[in-house]
Amino acid sequence: MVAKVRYLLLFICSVFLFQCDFEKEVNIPLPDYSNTPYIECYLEPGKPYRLLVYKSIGYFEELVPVPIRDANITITHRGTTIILPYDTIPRDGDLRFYNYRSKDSLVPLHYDEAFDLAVTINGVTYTSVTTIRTLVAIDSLYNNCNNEKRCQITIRFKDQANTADFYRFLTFSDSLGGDIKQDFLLNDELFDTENAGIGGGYSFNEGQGAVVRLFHLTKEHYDFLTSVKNSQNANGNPFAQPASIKSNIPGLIGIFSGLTYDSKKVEHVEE
Amino acid sequence: MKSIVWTCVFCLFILLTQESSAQINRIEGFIKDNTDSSLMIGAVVHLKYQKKTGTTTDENGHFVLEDIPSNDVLIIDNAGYATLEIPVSKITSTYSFYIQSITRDEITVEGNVYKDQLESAQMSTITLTTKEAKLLPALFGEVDLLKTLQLKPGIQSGGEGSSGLYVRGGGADQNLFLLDGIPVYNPSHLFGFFSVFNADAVKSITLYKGGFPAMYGGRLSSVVDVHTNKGDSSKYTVNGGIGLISSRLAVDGPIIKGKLWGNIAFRRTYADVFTRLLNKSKEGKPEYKPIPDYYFYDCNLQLTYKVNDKNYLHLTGYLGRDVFKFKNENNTIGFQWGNTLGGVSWVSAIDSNTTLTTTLSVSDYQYQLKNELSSFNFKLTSGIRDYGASSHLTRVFKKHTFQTGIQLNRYVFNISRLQAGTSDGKVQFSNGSALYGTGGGAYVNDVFNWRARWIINAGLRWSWFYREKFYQGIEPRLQVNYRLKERISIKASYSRMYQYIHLANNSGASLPTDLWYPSGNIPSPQRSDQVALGYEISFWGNKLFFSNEYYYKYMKNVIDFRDGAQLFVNDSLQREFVFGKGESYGAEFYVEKKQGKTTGWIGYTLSWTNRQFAEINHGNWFPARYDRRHDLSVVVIHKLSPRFSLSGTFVYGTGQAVSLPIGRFYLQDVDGVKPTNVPVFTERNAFRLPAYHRMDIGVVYRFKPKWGEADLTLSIYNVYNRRNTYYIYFEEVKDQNDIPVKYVAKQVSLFPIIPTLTFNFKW
Repeated sequence: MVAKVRYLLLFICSVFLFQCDFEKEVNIPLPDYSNTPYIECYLEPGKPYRLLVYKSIGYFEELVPVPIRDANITITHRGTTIILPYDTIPRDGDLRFYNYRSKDSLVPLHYDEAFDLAVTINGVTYTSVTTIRTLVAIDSLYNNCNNEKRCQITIRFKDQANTADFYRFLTFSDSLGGDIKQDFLLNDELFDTENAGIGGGYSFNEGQGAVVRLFHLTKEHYDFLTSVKNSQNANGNPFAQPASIKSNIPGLIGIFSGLTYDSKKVEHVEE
Repeated sequence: MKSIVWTCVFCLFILLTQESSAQINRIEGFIKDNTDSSLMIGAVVHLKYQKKTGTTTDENGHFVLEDIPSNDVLIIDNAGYATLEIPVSKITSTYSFYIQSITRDEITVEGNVYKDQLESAQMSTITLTTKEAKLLPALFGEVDLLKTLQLKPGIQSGGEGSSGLYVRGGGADQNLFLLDGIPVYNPSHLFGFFSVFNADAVKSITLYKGGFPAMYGGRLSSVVDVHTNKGDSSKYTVNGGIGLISSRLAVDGPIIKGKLWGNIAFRRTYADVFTRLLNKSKEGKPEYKPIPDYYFYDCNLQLTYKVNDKNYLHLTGYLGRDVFKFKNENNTIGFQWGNTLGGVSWVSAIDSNTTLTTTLSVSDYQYQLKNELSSFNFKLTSGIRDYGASSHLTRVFKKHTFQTGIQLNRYVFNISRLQAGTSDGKVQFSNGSALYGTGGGAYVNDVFNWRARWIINAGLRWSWFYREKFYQGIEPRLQVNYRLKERISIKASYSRMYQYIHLANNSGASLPTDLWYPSGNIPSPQRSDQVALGYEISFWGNKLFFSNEYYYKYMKNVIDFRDGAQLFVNDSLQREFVFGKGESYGAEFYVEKKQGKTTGWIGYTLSWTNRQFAEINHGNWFPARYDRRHDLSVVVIHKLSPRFSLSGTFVYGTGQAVSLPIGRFYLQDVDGVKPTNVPVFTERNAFRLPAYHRMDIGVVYRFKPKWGEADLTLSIYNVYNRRNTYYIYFEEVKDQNDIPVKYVAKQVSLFPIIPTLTFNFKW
């Protein structure tokens, strides 16, 4: 949809031979912003409990993030409460940054069971609940290349019948950590059979390496990511409505969700 | 100033007389323009001596007068035309005849050209002819009647260059567009920049923004009734034009003389011809991004078959398509959308006092998006088809004009039908649904005089709709005119409207992807109640007309969408709706001068438009995107000579209400590769774009080649090159290492000064 709007704008501008950069910098005084805390927490089986907490900031404020250091954070699962102390040291070559982390506990592989989060900031406690969705495996993957030696990747997987399922399809160039080539969010209302599939555009050069990931998302995570995309689109798209962020931690901005995915690596994308 | 040759043919047929031809008590007829035999709408027909007897022609150029003494004189007035006088004694029964036009240097219409308006109970109504619109400057030289309507008070545009209408605080989905009585579901070409109504095919437009006659229903905020050229029964005319972005051709004339005649008009843009050439010349250049391929075309057809003096068949047809293709290295995207309309009307004069019009019609709007890859494709279609049948009966009594009618519609909604899959067929999936609904209405309406000074137009409409659930509503309509003095009228009106089908549009612009969706268990019908009070005065020897109206409109069950609603490929679209209420109120001021060398109008609107939804803006009231506190339009047309005329328009409006993010955060996401900036929006529409203002100038030079008539029209849009804000966004400024260093606000403008030259001809 975003691409479509861009094409429309590109067309409108170009067909009339006017400059779309018919634009100028302006001063917009914004009202004071409340710096609502922002939280990101993904429960990844086999990994420590990790969480990022910092303050969201006014749009034109300094770019430096303002971490919150004095939050009290616990995650409770099967009656056991794990405390996440402040800890900013990155581990295992993880590209992600977290400032709260469990010392020894790892996230167990317990599908569809509740995990409870409690975050206390300045004496106010915010809570949320989530689960880890079951793994949906990528059944098969195939490539297709056009005459210009550009290739696309299509995957097939089995959508679970009788459940509402939400997916995210991510492709990276070369390896994890490479550029994200495609990022699609989809739900199973799209599929009328269990044989589901999704393909992207001709985004890879022939012979290039790629990694494909299929996430089986919780509904809250899907809603959060959708609202993030909508919010980003609304800034700069004259046709879009503003979209508020759908947080699943009431009172705060953020997401608390289990993370399940299947990955496939393609050494050389070719037909 | 040399003489202006305006000619007029008056076609009269008399349906009834009393015992002797000298004692005529009723005259019925049609009034036509001599130049093209087109029917003249809103012409004033009255008597010279019995001054209280008078009427105006309806949308078919038709009028009826009763109680006519044979020694009186019939007078026909129409703004811009010479006054025509015919002794009643010369009008004989059951006889149709033509009277040649009068030619004179300067047209001076005797009497009050605003008489009709002052004598009518109808208020909150605007009638505009193509002839008037053609005198005004136009964007890219494309005469657009909807954009001209935006220059009237109470009507706002959706944004720079847009032909969308926002009437008295109503949304773009709350307007009922009728092309000869057939509904049009997407009135726009090119994403709203042009309307589908080709000026060469249209005779006039009447827009009701309040005080709705009972025969209309189905939308909350306005009825835009478009009347096409019915064609000339006696001679051929070819009209055309070559403009910057499109060319037009219209042919008008008899097919079987006196029996079958019609009008066909065709228009096509040709930017695609040049963009294709440009793309081809730059093919292979790595930095070059191909320009998408776009064009639109439309074709209007009108046929009239005269069965006999009392029965006519009218055929209306319309076909319009927008075609957009974009191809890059990744994929090929094709959009195609458009309206297809067809209808047959049977107009029958049952007796001298009674006319019955029965119409069968189909209106279809379809949109298709195709994404073509060699191994994975998808196709998305959506649309609406409306099968309609209606019958309207008008009976004229001595002091009453009584109307009644029924209407039945069957709707088929095609909701985001997606077909996708791999080309080998191993993966196939689809989505979307077809929904069916049935609706209709019945009404009665009476216009009558009460005592000497009161004119009352009272009506009642019953409307209903069925899909999953049966909905119905009673819609009272009342308009009252109190003639304080001959030149002063005080008017008041009340209207209730129901809307049973809804446009799923969350963009504020007219996009082809907008979906029509029916009422059912969800959503419920929308409802509006509007009251208006105003007065009208003609003054300065009837050279000027002034009106002032105050209105309040309350809307219930107004539809919007949840924040971030998924409208694109959503099988459960009803879950995305939210329901709330809306209100709009304000004052409209209008001064008009219709006669003389200099004509024009000034319109000013002061208004407030607000919405409230439990799920949006924390349940607080917020201004609608098109809430505009001040809206001013000035239109001046000056005839320098019979050959030259100048025109100018100036518009000023409070900036649109918009939402801007006030906070942001970085999302590192599940991969942590590249954190992205996420804006945080809080209050809905809490900011205002800078005020919008613009001046346009037009010059029309007419000349008479041997083969006919022609003119060159120069339009200069945005003459002082004002950079009006189209939208504002916040940009991330990065350093050489691709690291964000700051954020800035940027304003984007769309159209600079645009001069265009259009050649128009008539042969």
